Amino acid sequence: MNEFIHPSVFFIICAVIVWFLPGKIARFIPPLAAILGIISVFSMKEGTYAEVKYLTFILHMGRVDSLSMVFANVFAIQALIGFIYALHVEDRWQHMAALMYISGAFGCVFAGDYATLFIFWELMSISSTFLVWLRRNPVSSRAGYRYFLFHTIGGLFLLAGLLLRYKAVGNFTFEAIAPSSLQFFDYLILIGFCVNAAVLPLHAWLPDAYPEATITGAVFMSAFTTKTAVYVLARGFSGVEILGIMGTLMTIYGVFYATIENNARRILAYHIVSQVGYMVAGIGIGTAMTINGSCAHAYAHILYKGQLFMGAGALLYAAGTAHLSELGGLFRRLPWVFFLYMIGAVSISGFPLFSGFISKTITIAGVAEAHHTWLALGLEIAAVGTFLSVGIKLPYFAFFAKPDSGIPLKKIPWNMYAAMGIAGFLCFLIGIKPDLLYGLLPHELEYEPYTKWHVLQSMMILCFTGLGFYIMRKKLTPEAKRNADFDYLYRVIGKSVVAIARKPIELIDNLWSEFYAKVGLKGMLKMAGIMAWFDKAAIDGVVDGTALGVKRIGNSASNVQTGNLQNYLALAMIIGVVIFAAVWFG
Amino acid sequence: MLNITESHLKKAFFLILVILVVLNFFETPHSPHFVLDKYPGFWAIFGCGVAIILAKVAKGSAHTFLGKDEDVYMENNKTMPIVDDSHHQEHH
Repeated sequence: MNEFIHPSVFFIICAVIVWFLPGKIARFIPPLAAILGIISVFSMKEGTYAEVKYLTFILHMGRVDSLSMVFANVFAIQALIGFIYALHVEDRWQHMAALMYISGAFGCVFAGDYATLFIFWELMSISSTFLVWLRRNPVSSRAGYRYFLFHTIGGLFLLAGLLLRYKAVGNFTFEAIAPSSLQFFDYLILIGFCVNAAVLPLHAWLPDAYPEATITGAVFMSAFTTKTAVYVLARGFSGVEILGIMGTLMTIYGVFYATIENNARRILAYHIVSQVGYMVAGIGIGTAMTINGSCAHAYAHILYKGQLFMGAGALLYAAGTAHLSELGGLFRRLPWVFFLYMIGAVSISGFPLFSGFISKTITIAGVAEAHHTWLALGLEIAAVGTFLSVGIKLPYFAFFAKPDSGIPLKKIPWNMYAAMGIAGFLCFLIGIKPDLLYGLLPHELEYEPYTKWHVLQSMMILCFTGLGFYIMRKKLTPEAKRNADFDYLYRVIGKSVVAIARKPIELIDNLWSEFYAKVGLKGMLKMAGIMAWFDKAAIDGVVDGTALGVKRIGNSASNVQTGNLQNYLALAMIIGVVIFAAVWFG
Repeated sequence: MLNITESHLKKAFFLILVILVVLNFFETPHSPHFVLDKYPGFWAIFGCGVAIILAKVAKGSAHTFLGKDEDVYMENNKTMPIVDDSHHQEHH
């Protein structure tokens, strides 16, 4: 098959179908979309497809090349895994949000120009907000609102950048930009991308919102938003050196917070910041090897991070909390959750035989070979922190540490286990057969992960991290605290702006009150006397006449105001159409 | 049936650590990226050292200036009660 069918089409059609079905049946539809998506992606050939004329522009919706293929490939697989994991969910709105979200992700990956990219970019941002809101509690309502605000700002940066760019160069072409010729508008676009890639200090939305999303929503969100951003960065901004530095800082920053966090899903969210840091760093260095490393790591990361979020989600589903301080000793009652979680944990930590080992080491080796020794050292530090927090701390305090907390557990549905089984198998498969992944990468790769030294070095780092944990295990006990991140700073700034704005007004108000009390009162009384005379003598006569007129208008207005919302909306629409027609034909 | 106790596991773990360092004397990197990694045992000290320093610094920060109340974002919330009903929402 040589035809290109845009995978988003399946997801959008299924979203519409789901809308019309009752939840009990609707939940079986999304996996079908994912299967069709996989077939479509795996049968694609490189080329340019789906050019749609819109107004005076051509929207390029089907750029299929080696770079977009890697991401589309893993997106399709993760969509299927995620929908199997969500098979028991009967809330059809959640399925619709997830379907629209994934269609947005595919749209971004295949977008050949900035205008198309922006449309799908916003589709992702809106639908993922619903994945947070649909958890339907006050905490997630607020977190979702903050998430949406942040992404709207990011989207506006992107929009401003692409419009200014259009004005300057006259097209929306989305191609790689030489780092030496970056213009002001390119930086605006870069900032928009960096918001979604959770680059410091624009990352706070991620650990804020992901832990408050629905159990299944977080699994989707962990895969698509940041990785779409990684894709567009790799596409447009490879070799921009600041990304190399920021990426390395992200890796360490993420594990730093993960070490002290209490909520299991927030620990994992901080690890997205950390792991995406590896990809951003690789893109920033921009050699063929580090770009390969970033793509390989994105691929592996989507699978093992999904696995970890599914594991933590299963804990939350069964126990009703993901706070480590309330869990503990669950190994005997949830052995399979532990086992499957650990596959994700050893993968992310880069144990030999698992996917992280064959992807993370490419980036680190590539960075070191490009003579960015300090950055490579930073990435190694983060590798230690990764295993410390996700590989040991989280499972130790959830499944062991204390005697069984006796917390009542709800039965975990079979489909959750099935999804984790598939993801775990893939993590292992990629780990033992790295060429399956290496064959997909955009550049030729000459790299052999399984040398004696690589294996020994990894095992030394990881096992001695274990020793470090053993020594520090008492100190690392999670506490029921939330740690201030950059978002706290935004709030402090916001509050002080309000305070600063309020002060002068308060001052004027106070002065006025004082003035009024001392000077104004006497004058006012005199003034009032004059006014009263004027009122009686002059105004009354005029007003009486006007009042009748007002009453008449009020009556006809109240005929329009029927109090029915639909009437208002219809009226608003008619007025809108009239105004539009007036502008259009006028 | 083997009766594995915690102390067995601990001994096995330390044995693995020793074996890894011993192996490091025979297997060294062909092209060391950092100056010190040509010496055997570097990555062992690195792994353990970073883990301890990270734990100390991170926990220290959490205890001094980073740690806030867990529902710090629910301040000024007079009208909406804090109920974590997600547990019941996930299945109907």
